[in-house]
This record gives sequence, C-alpha cells and structure tokens, in this order.
Amino acid sequence: MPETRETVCLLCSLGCELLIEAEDGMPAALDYCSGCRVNDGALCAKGNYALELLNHPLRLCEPVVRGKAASWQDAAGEAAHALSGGASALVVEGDVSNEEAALLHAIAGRIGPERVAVNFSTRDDAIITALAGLPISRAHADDLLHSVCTIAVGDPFSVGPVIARRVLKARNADRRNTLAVVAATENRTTRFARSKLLGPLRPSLLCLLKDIALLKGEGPPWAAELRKVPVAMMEGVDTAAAGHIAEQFTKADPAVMLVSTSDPVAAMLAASCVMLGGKGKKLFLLNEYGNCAGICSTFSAGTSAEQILHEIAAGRIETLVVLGSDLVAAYPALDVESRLRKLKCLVAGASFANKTTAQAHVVLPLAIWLEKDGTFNGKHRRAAAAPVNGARSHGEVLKMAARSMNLELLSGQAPPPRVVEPNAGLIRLILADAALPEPETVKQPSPVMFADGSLTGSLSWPQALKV
Amino acid sequence: MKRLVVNLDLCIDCTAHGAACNRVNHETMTGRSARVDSIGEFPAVCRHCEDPACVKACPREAMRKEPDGSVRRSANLCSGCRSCVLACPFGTLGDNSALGGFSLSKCHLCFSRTAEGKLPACVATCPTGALRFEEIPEAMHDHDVFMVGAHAVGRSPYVRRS
Repeated sequence: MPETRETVCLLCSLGCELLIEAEDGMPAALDYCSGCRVNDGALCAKGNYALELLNHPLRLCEPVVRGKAASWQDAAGEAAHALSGGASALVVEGDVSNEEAALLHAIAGRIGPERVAVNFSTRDDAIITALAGLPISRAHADDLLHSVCTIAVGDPFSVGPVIARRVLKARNADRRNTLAVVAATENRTTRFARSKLLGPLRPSLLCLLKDIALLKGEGPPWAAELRKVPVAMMEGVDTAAAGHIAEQFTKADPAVMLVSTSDPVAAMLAASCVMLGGKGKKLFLLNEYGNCAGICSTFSAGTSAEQILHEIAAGRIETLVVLGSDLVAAYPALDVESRLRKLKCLVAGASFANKTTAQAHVVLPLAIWLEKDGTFNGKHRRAAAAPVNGARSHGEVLKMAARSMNLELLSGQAPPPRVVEPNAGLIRLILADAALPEPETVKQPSPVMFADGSLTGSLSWPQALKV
Repeated sequence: MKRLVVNLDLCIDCTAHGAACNRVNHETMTGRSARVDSIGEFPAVCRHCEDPACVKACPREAMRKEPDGSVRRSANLCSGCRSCVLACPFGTLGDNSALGGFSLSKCHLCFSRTAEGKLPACVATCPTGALRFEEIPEAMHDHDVFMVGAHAVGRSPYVRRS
C-alpha cells in the first residue's frame, strides 16, 4: 500500500515542503505538496532531484577499513580510536539535525572544543553568529508579500527560487512598490529590479547605509559615525542610485532587506541599514545551508574546518574524523589533498564517494537528510525513507563512537547570543571591516546536496543545476 | 482546451520546469528553454497547435492530434527521423540523447497527472507561478495567433500580466 510522507527540503533555509510516496518502505516518487504555507507545492530544480540522491550510483553502501569491507562495529571502533588519540579532530558537515548537533557536546568535552568544527563552506554560520545578538526585526516569508520596498542583497532568486514568488507578487501588486537589488554583477534577481546598485557589495552597502543615516537626520547617536564615512570608501558606487534606493527604503513601511550573501561584513552592513531604518524595517536572511540556524543555536563550534586544515599542515593534528564534508572540494585553494596525506589516520563518513573518501583509511556510508529523523529548519521531521543499504545517520555514528569512548551523551545548547546594542564602537568595527578588500567568492558546489563536486556532474540533467 | 501559459513578468529563468519534466518522464524528456538575447532563458513550451505542422510532417503517423486538443507522440511509432523537429515553427521539439536517437521527446501535457486532477509537473513545480495551465479564450487578439502560410497553427503561450 503506497504511503505518502510530507517532508521539508533542506537544500536552502527556506523550508519548502514536498511529498515522498513510498511503497513497501521504499521511496517511489516525489510529488508537490500543494497548499503548504512556504512554497504552495513549488520546488526549484534542486528540490526536484532530491529523490535521485537516494539511489545515486555514487552512494556509499558499506563501511570500508583500509581497503576492505568491514562491519559497522569495527568501523565505528576505528572512528572512536581515531578520536581518542591526543592529536585528533572532528569535522561535521552543516547538514545535520539539531539532535545530531547536540551530540557534538559530548565529543567536544573529550577532545576539546577547539578540535570540533561544523563545516559551512558558504560561511552561513559566520553570518548567523555575527547577526545573532543584534536587535533586528526578522521577517517571515509572508512579510515579503506585504513589503512596499524590498532590497535584495546578492542573488536570492538563485539561492532559493521559491522566495521569488512572494517578492514578485509584492513588486507587481503596485507600480509604486520598489524592488531594489544590490549585487556584484547582473544576475537572476537584477532582471526584476526597479533600481539596482551593481559593483562590490561592501562599498555599495556602505553608501546605502550612509545615505540612510543622512536621510534620518539626527537618529541614534551611533549614526553620527556613519555620516562621517569618507567618500574614498565608496569609490565607484553609483551614488545617485544609492540615494534613490535609500530614500525609498527610509520612507517605506513595511520594508524588507532580503540578504543572500557569503560575506559576513556585507550582511552586517545590510543589518545596520535595517537597524537604522527604524520602524517597519525587517531582515530576511536566506542561507544555502538548510539547518544552519538550528545547528548554530545548538552547538557553538570552537574552531572552523579551515583552521583544522591549517593545524594539520602544521603537524598539530594527526588523526581526523570527517562526517559528511568533502574537504577537498570545499577548499580548492588550500591544497587539501596534500594536507590529508600527512594524517596518520583519516576517517571519512560521506553519503557519496568523493575526493576525501578516496584518501580515507576508514570510509563510513552516511544517510542523507531525507533518510533522517530530527529537527531541521525549526520543524521536527520524520525520515522520508529508510537509509539505503548499510548507511547510518551522522547521529548514529557519533553515538557509536561515543559509546566506544565511554562518553556520556551530553545534550546541550549553545549559549544564547549576547545581546549587542548598536553603539559607536561597534559601528567603527564594522566600518573597519568594510574598508578591507572583499574576499574572492569561490562558487562552491551547493553544500548539502552536492557536497562533492563529482555528484553535480553525474546527475541525469546537470544543466538543471546551474543555480 | 487547457494549455500551458508562461507569464514572462514572473519567469526567473530557474530551469525548474525542465528538471520537473525530466524527472516525471523518467529522463526521456526535458522541458526545453529558449534563450532570448542576454535577458535569460524562458520555457519553450509546445503550443499544441490547432493545425500542427509536426503531425503533417511525420511520415509514420507517430504524431497525433488527440480529441482533447493535445498533440502527442507515440514512442513505439517514432523512428527519430526529425521531420517534426524541422517542421515545428517554434523550435519546441528536439533530440533527446537518453532515447538513443531512435525516438524524440514531445510534451504530452502530463496526461497521466492531469487525469488524476493534478497539474502538469512543470506547472506544479514553477517556483514563481509563471507557468500556468489554463483555458485560453478563443477570442484572442490577432497578434497572438501564429500563421504559417495561410494556416493558423497556434497561439502564443507568452503573456505579460504585471
């Protein structure tokens, strides 16, 4: 008897719902979930391929220890042994559930918080952490429907195409409604912009912020710092366009700043526009990692994957357990392969064969997000399908390793963010960061679904994935 | 008859329609897109013409105009000769390598889904609601009707409704 399960997509932070039809416990078809609040059945190209991931030819099926098939018990024992050493580290990909992230507290308690990282290759975690304590009104998806002025930062229509439904509906409802886009280059979102500001994000947003500060007159005391920003910091920005957008944003109520960027400084500048804008101004943050906010609120990592790679290069880490991440694909500029070769033991858990598992001494097949129970994106969700073959979830692997290490499974929460009231000192810090050159944006493979670059090229219709 | 309609004011060139078409039809078909200068790509949907040139061009009678108004291709009869591809004035038919060159893909308006009361896959998945499946009134402006010679072959599926 076919059974239909409703599930939530994890391929961006929007939380689109979809239906998985299963026969005899095996997922048979994907269908659109019409009537659901976020997406009303719609799915982007990535979401359409969610089911294809389950039986993908690159799926890993059985644990392998030093080139030979092994039992899960032996493989988990190897992972525990690798973590028990004095110079060990753990990197977990940012596609785990809140419950799985909570298990990291136990491991961090043993090997040290500075040796456990959650990998977000698009730096979503840095943005969430930077904005966590600021007094900003957050917008819900429905707020975009009523927004009189929406400023999109980056290219949100590419990251989460379903968000475009509400934005365009608001834009088209009234000719006076504004959709402004601040982006590095022309993109999908700019095509619909009534005003646009093209060029490097930091100077553009700084110019916008200064104009809002000037338009607000006196405003809060910290706004005075913004009015003094030298013109040299905004070289090349179309000041007339920035002034026009700032005027529209200041007058509008309600107005939403829709932010989709991998630059934490640009996100801070956009958030400052919202704080300064005052009444009716809200921020909508669109992340590429679906459960980034949930993970950040559950476990506060003491380091980053990049830092751990530097430690490996320096010889301070000798054994590494990686769950989910393809570090080789995620950090192409760091020559990760040669760093991983220095390790005495590399345990790599992944759903799909990738360049990191190719170098691993121990390979663990992991379940993908569709196969896991847990809280994702603020909602508790049942697994849409049983894990294929021998795959197990990140949580099960962590529990097995913790048991082998005789660890008590502590469940914890990250400390609540410290509330930061904007002040002149904070604004000076933001301005100092804004003056630095923007980091080069390396287009990462979309993190959750295409954690390995190879997978992107091997789907049945790669052109669909040009997002 | 209901047809596919594309609202160009809402289309964000996301290619989800092609992905959905490909998935629902088990990779035998991919909803096509047409590039318009540097503006972007838009769904190139079959018009299911009133007087279809592809049906006339097919030497094996693999293309048929169905009583419900849709134009369908029989996979068993099609030999992949490409006559319909050349005949289609709108370029909505094409090769599909998944079928090995012996057959061609053709939009059938997801008849198995619509029979269950569902929308065609491309319409159901469209993130912005740009693709719709709706009745086109017979009385349309003349400029919406495409002529090939003296034959009115089809109506434009493209609209702008800001």
